[in-house]
Amino acid sequence: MSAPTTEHPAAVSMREVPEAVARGDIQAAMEKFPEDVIWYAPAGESVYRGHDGLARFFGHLDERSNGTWRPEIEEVLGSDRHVVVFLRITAERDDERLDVLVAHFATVGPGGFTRNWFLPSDLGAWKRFFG
Amino acid sequence: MEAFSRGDFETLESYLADDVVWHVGGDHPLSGDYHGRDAVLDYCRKAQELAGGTLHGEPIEILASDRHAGVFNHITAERDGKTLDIILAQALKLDAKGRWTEYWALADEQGAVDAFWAGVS
Repeated sequence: MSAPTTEHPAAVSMREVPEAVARGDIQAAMEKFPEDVIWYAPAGESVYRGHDGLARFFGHLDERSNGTWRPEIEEVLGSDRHVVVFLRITAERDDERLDVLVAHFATVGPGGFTRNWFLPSDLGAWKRFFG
Repeated sequence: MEAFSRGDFETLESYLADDVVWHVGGDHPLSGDYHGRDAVLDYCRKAQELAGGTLHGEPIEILASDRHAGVFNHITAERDGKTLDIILAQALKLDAKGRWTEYWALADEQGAVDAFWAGVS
């Protein structure tokens, strides 16, 4: 979905994260987060810290989906302090298919998106697919 | 959110769609999916009752459109000598009338949430 013309700059910046991931450019996505990024997730390690942690998070999704997972933006809401992006994430593995709505919340800091909450709506489906 | 904090479930009810789905994450006795307005209200009443009415949310910021809402909520509560003090990211899907059709959330310290509710029945 294209960005509305009135979208907040933080929302515009966040929009570039899933767009970069969707084209396979994880490095471009990582540049939106500071070195001391904190990433809260409901599965796996629960809290991923730093670029290394974030790389592990993305790497796990790649590994479990054979590189098929794709985020598609439904909507981005932003302010000077916070941003929320609603994503539909799909992935496939053998005969399994995942299609789940995810909300990614983030605080806006000088070096990028500092604290991040990554929330699949259907956590059961997410865990069954990604473990 | 304010209605929940003050135990005003009548007001909370007015925001819920008939077929609302409420996902409670984590690994504790209240975790699970609650389907329908009545089940969600029962869950909310039970959580507030178990916390002795101390479960309180102080929204830091609410970002909303006509389709979605995101709440950065500072949650505090006390129960049996335990305290809860977390930032909860709360996501909502809205229907055409602005009623909540789906809710899900994640805390910055999910382990603290699990420990707080441990042992309830």
